[in-house]
Amino acid sequence: MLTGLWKIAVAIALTAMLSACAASGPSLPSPDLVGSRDSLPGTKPTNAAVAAPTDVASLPTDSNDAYDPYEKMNRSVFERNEKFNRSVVYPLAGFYINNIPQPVRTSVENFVSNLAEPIVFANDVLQLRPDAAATTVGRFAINSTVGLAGISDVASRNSIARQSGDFGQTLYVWGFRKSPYLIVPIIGPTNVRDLFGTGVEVVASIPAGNLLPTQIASAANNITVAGTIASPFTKLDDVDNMKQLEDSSLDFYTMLRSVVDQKRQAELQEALAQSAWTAAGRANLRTATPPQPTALSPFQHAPAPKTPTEEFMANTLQGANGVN
Amino acid sequence: MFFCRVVASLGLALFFLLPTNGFSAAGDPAATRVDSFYAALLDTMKQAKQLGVKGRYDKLAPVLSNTYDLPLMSRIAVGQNWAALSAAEQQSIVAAFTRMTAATYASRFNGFAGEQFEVLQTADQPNGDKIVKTRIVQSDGTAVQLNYLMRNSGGAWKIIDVYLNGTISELASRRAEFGSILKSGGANALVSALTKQGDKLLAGG
Repeated sequence: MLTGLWKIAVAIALTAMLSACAASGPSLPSPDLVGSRDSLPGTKPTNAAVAAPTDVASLPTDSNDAYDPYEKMNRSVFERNEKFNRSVVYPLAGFYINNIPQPVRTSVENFVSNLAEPIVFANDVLQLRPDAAATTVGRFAINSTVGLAGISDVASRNSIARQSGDFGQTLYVWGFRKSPYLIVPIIGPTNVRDLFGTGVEVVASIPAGNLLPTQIASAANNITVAGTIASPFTKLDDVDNMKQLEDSSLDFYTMLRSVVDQKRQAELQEALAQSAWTAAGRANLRTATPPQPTALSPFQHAPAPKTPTEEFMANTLQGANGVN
Repeated sequence: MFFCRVVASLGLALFFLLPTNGFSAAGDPAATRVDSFYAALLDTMKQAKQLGVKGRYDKLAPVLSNTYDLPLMSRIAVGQNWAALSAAEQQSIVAAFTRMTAATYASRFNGFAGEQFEVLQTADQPNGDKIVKTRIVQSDGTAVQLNYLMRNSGGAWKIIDVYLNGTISELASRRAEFGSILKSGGANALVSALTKQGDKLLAGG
């Protein structure tokens, strides 16, 4: 019993330490990352009504690139962060992974993620997303009780997926769309809007005495994100997926920027599609049907529209047949 | 309304405590292609140690060539520069990208820890393509969703893009990478980077 408690305590302590490291570089990117692409200069929004290009060669190469006007400066900071990752983050992550059993790590991540649900809920309310807010309340209630104070993510196992909801996303829904990609020393990849959003969330947590749990929850979320985005390039059982993503990249800076931008765009578009602030969101809410259980996502009444990447790739692939 | 949704969430969660079954994609030719690919991948993972990285590469390379439309993916990833390249440069890029892709799989899938590969369902696209939805379940129950965009090319369904969690396109990421390298160094730099990456992956296993 004591051994078990000791391991849990070590796990929590290491997670807290990793929170500083996780937020310190691009190896463990925050989900609060890249700004809107729909306002990028020189890019055209795609939609189904626009005829697909007849050949991919007619498309500008950078049509789908993230908005990165400070690339030169960002690359410089990125390199320094990478050195820090190699010297500190990867060894620390390796120690954590090798010494803490997977079930304990999962339980710690579940516990701290559950602590962050109130912030997710608050932002879903600010974004006028009743479905996401209600689902988050349900998740928090279930995981805090049946899930033993959040140690077990019973909700996700029953297809009640964790919802997005952060203040950077809220600002996007409120109209702050354009935001350049930014690599911040120690903190890592973000953008001006989302960096501000994260700052607001941290400050908002202080009066409630939640600063430490929030940081830990954020770290756990970052670790989860790191594990998620690297999976197609890696074998799944490794947790140092970001290092493996780097190993799979020709140009890690560009690869990471693309991956985190796509992930963030999906969250932002999902928020718009579900928000009563937008006409599309209101239409989706009006046509929403009561939740029906399915194998995939019973609570996703209003599926997110295609992200800019999905639309771009769909249009690109539409006209491309064969090599020559 | 809000309260009702909360109650619905709670009620459904408590009622449906058992895992739900996935949709069947049995019989669909695109899904069958992915199924075969997963079977070969699992087989390789289970023999990973005996095969070594070179053995895994030799085993997976033909499977990947049959499963992915790597020439088309190369062309998409290069983008507008493709037409300006010579035939020799195009062929070099396709060959180097094909080799690096197989090397990536050979390097990464170097063991088996109880993962399960599940083909869930297939969705037809307006242009005739299909999206095959799958998930990979780790031994601890954690699942990762992988969707494959597939096209019927010469009578065979082949993967032309991979979407992680339904949103992150591997091809879009490669396109961004290729664009960056082509801009700074041209086709030769791209072939060199792909070849170097393949060498590194095959040497590190």
